[in-house]
Amino acid sequence: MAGLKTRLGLLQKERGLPPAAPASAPATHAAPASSSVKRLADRLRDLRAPSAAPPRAARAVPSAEEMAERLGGVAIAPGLVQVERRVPLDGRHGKQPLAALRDAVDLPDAPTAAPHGWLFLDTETSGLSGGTGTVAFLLGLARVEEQELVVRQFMLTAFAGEPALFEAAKSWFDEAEAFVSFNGKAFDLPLLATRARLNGRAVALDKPHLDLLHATRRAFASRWDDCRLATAERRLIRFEREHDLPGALVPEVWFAFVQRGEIARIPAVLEHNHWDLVSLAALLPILHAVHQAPGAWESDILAVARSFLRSGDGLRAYRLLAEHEAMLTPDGLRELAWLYRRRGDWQQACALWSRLAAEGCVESIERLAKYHEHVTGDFVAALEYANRLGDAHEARRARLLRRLRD
Amino acid sequence: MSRPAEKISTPDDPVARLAERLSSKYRSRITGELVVPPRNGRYADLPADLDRRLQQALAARGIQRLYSHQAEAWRLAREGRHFVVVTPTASGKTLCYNLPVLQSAMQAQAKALYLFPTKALSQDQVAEILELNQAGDLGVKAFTFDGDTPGDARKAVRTRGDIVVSNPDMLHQGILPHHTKWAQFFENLRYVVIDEMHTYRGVFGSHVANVIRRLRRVCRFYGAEPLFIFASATIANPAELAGALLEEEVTAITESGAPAGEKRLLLWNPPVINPDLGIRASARSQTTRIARAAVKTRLKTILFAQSRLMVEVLTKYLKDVFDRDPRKPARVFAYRGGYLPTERRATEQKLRKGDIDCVIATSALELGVDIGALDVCVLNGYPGTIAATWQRLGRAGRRNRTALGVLVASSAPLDQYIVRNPEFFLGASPEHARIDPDQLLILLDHVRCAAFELPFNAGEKFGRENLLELLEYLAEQGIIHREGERWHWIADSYPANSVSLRSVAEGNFVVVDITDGRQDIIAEVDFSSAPMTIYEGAIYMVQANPYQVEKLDWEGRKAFVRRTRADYYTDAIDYTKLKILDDFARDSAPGAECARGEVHVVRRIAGYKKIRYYTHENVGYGNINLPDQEMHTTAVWWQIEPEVLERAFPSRQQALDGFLGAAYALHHVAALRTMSEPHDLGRAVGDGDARWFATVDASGRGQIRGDDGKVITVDSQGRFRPAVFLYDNYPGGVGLSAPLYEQRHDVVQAAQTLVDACDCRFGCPSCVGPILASDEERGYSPKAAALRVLELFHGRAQD
Repeated sequence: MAGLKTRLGLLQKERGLPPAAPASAPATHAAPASSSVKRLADRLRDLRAPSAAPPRAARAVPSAEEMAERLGGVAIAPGLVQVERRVPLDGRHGKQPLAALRDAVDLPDAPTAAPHGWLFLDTETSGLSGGTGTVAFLLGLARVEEQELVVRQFMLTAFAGEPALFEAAKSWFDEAEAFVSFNGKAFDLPLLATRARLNGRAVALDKPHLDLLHATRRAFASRWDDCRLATAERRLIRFEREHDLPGALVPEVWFAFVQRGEIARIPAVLEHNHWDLVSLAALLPILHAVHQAPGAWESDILAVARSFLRSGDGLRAYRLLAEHEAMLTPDGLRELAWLYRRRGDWQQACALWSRLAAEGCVESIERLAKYHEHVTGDFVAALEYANRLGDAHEARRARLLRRLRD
Repeated sequence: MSRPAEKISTPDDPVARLAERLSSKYRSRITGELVVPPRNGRYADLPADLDRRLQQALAARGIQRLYSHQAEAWRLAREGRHFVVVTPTASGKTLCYNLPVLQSAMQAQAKALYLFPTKALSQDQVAEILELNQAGDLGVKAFTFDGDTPGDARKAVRTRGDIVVSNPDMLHQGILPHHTKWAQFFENLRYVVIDEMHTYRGVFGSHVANVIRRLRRVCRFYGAEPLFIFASATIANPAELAGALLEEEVTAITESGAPAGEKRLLLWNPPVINPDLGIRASARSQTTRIARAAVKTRLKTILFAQSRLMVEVLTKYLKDVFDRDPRKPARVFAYRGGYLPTERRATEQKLRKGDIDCVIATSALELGVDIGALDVCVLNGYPGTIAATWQRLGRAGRRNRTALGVLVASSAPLDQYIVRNPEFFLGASPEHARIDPDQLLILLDHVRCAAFELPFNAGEKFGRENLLELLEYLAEQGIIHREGERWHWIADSYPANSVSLRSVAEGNFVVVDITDGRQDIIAEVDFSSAPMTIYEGAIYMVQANPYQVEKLDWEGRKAFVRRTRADYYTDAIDYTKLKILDDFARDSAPGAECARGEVHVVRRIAGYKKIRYYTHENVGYGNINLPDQEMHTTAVWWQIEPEVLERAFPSRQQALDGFLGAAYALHHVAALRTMSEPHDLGRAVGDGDARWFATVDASGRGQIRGDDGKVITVDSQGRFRPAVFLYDNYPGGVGLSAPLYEQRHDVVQAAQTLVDACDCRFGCPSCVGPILASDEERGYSPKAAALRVLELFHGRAQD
C-alpha cells in the first residue's frame, strides 16, 4: 500500500489558474506553452505527491577550465578535467614501501606480467545498479613509470565530456597488459564497457584482469569482519586517512555539483579516489607477500594453499603447507598429508595421519588402514585401524580377516 | 458461420450423443443451441524459398504442406510487413512465426525476441523450437531468459542465443535497463514475436505498449528496426489493438486454414425454484450435473469457474463423486492462480497425456498452454465478455470429432440477459480490446524508465503527451538533468524496480502450511485479492483441501494456515466509500443531475460470512481487521434533489433501496455499453458529501453507515442526497468515465429497460440485486423503487 500512497499522496487542489498576473500582461497573448505546462504539472501533482527535492538554485555549473584550476589539473575537452599526480616509489604508503611495486608478482590468479604492464583502476559512479543509467563520472587510473607511480584522474564536469574521457584514457588502456582493481571484475569494468558502448567508443577492455578483492577474501575472510578496501588499507597497509569523504556520499556530491554548481566537496572526491588507487597499488605487493608467507600475515594458510592447488601449482601448495605445519588446523593437516602422499612421501603422510587419528579423525584412520593394507602389507596393523571405523567399513574388515587367515 | 441446431443422427460420436441426451432431457432449461459446422482444411504448398533443412524438419514432423494462414504469414514476413495472426487454438499458429524466424536465423544470422505473458508458455515455446531444431539439425539456439535464469547462464543467452524467449516484465526490468550487455543481440534483431496479444489490454496492455516504445527506442540506438509479429485469440479489433501497441499499421490474418470438427453450444438457464423471489437453482448445481454426465461417459471435460473459490467448491463436489477411493489415481483436478508453478506444470502434463478426466479452472487456463484435446467444456457463469467466452469454449475440440460447449447462466444480470437473449450472444461480435498508453501515470513511469536507458534528446517523441513537459517535470524532481539539448539520468535509483506492469502489485502473499509443525509454502496470493481471501479465520482451499488462516502477517506478506475439517466455506463482505473531489462536467435535468469528475475511493473489507457446504446456509459471521485500500480516480455519478426525492418516495428507506437497485442495474449495463471488463468499473451508493455510504444488510435491506463504519439511521441525516457512483477501478482512471458520461442517457434508459422487462415480481439478482425479504414483509417492491429512481435520473416529468 505504501507505494500507492506515495504515488498519489495528498490531493493538491490547484485549479489551474495562473498566479496574480501583472496588470500589463494581456490575457489574449498568454504563451500557450507555459499555460499547458502548468496544466500538465497540475494534473501530475493532483495524482502524485509533491516533490521533496530542494528548490533548484540558479547557479551555473563551473566550466572544465574553472574546475581544472581549482583541482590543479588540465581541462582537456569541454566537460572533462584531467588531474595527474606522481607518487615517488622510494617512499611509503602507510607502512608499505612503494618500491615493492617494481618487483614481479606471483599470485595464483594473476596473469604473469612485468610490473610496468599493470594498470590500476577505480571509478566513482552515480549509483550501484550498473545499468545504463549509472555513470562513471570519475575514472581513476594509475601505473608505474620509472621511479614513480603516476596517478591520472579523469573527471566529468558535464555529461558532454564523456566521449572525450574515453578518448583521453584510450592510450593507457591500449598500453596496459593487465588490469588490477578491487571488485572491478563485477562492477567497474562492466560499467566502463557499458558507458563506452553508450557513447559509441571502442575501448580495449578485454584484457587479463586481477581483482584483488578475490585474493583478499581468500586470505582474510575467515578472520576479518569484512573485506572492503578500507579494511585492507587499515589492517595490511596501515594507512590512516584523514577527513576522508565516505564513499557512500560521493554520488550526492556529484549530483549537487552537476545540478546546482556546488563545488566545495569535489576536491574531497578526487582525494578519496586518489587514496583508493594508491592503496590498491600498495595492496598488490602485500598480497604477493601474503601468498609467499601466509603465516606471517595471520592469513588463512589453507585457503591460500588451496588457491595454488586450483591454479595447478601443487608444488607451491605443498611447500606452503609444509613450511607452516605448526600453524595448520586439522583441515590444513589433512590437506598436507594428502599432498605428502601424492608426492610419495609416505613417512610424512603417516606421521600426520597418526597425529590426526589420535584425535579421532575418521578420514585419517581410514587412510592408515588403506596404507597398511596396500602398501606395507601389514594386515594386522591395517585391521587394528579398520576396527576403529564404523559399520560402513565392514567390507574392509572382512577382507582383511580373510587375508590374515591365508 | 453458425446455425441453430438440427437433429443430426451421429451414431458413433459420443459427444454428439451426450449433446442429444442433454438437449432432450433438459429441454426446458436450454434457451439456445448453436452448431458450428466442421471446417475443411485449406492448404498451400511449402514456400519455394524455404530452407531445405527447415523443409526436412517439417517433414520429420509429418508436415508436407502449410495451412493457408501459415502461407499468408510467410508472405507478409518476406514483404517486411508487421502482422497479427488471429486463429483458434490448435490451428498451427506458432508456425506462422517460427518459420520466418528460423529461416532468418539460419540464413542471415538474424536474431529474434519472443514475448509471452507467462513463464509456462515461454518454456513450452522453447521446447517446440528445440524439437524442430533436432528434427532438421538446424543449429538454431533458443533460450528462455527470465527471473529464473541462473546468473552464469545469462551471459551465454545474451551472446549466443539466436532466439531469446522472455516476458514483458523481464524485458522491462532485466533487459532494457542493461541493453549494452545485449548490444550484439539488438544489432542483429530482426523479429519480435508477441503471442497472446489479446491479454495486453486495459492497464496491463497500456504498460506493455510503453515497454514496446522503449524497446523500439533501444533498437534504433543499435540501428535495428525489427518486424513485429503478433498472435492473438479472437477479439473484435485485433489489427487495431496491434496497431495501438506498436503505433504502426499492422495487417491481420483472421481466416484459419486448419480443419476443425463440429462444435455444439448449448445455452443453459437453471430452473426457477422460487418464482416470488425469482430465485433459480444455482449454476453450480447444473454444472456439476453436466460434468458428471460427461465424465461418466469417459469424455474429457473442462469446467471454467469465475472465481478461485468456486473452482474449489466445484472440485470438492466432483471429487466427492469420482475420487472417493484414495488408492486410485485422481481423475478430477483443480487449476488456478495461487497454486505453485510446479503443481500447475504437473497438471498441464497430465492433461496432455490424457490422464485427467475432469479439470476445473479459472481463466488461468484460458491462455494457450497446450493441454491436449478435450471433448466437453462447461462454463459456470458467463465469463463477462464474448471474447473470453469463445476463448474458453475453444478449449474443447478435436479435429475429427464433435465438441460440446455449455454456457450455464448464473443469476447475475448479465448472465440472465445473455441466456434469455440467445440471438444477442450468438450474433454478437467479441469485445474490443482497449488500451490507453498515454494514461498520465503510466506514461510518466515509462518515460522515467526510458530516461534511465538512454538520455533523451530534444525533438524526440515518446507517447502523445508533450514529452518536453514530462521531462521538465522529472527534472524538477531531481531525477534527470538537462544539459544542452539532452536529458540525462542523474539519480542513484533503478526506476524499473518500482514500476509493475500489472495493476497495483505491492508484493504477493505466500500461504504457509503450519499443520503438524510444518513450514511449507502451498500457494501464492496477489496483493489485491489478499484482503478478500486470506484474512484471519478464512477458509482457504488448495485442490479442494481446506485450510484455515490462523495468522496473517500483512507487512511480511505471509498467511499461516492449518488443515481443517470445517464443513463450511467463507465469503468476505466489503464496503466502498467515495468522496467527490472535483467535477469536470455537469448536466442537469429537472430535479436530477449527472456529473463526472475526480473521486477518492476507500475500500474496506469488514467481515465474512460462514456458509455451510451443500445446504448453503449462513452459519456464522466473523470480523476482519485489515488496512483500507485507497485510491484516487475518475467517476460518473447521478443525484436527485432532496425535495424531489422526498416527494417521490414515502420514506427515505425506500429511496435508499431504490438507489441501491438502480446502481446495480446501471453498473451492469454500463459495463456492457463501454465494452469493458466487468471489474474495470466499480459501483457505490453514498452521500455526495461523503458523510455516509450505503450497503445491503443480511435481509436484503439497504442501510447506511458513517465514516467509522457504524450503522446510522437514514432519518437521522439532515439533508438526504444520495448518489450512484460508477468509477474507474484504477488509480488515475483508465479512460472509462468520459465515454460513459457521453452515453449517460442511453445507459439510464437501458437500465430502465433491464429492470422493467425482468420477469421477477419484486426484484432479483438479474435486475436490481438479490432480495431475501418478500414484498409483503417490506410493503413495497425494491424493483419499483429502482425504476422510480431511474426515471428521475432520466429527468422525465413526474406523474
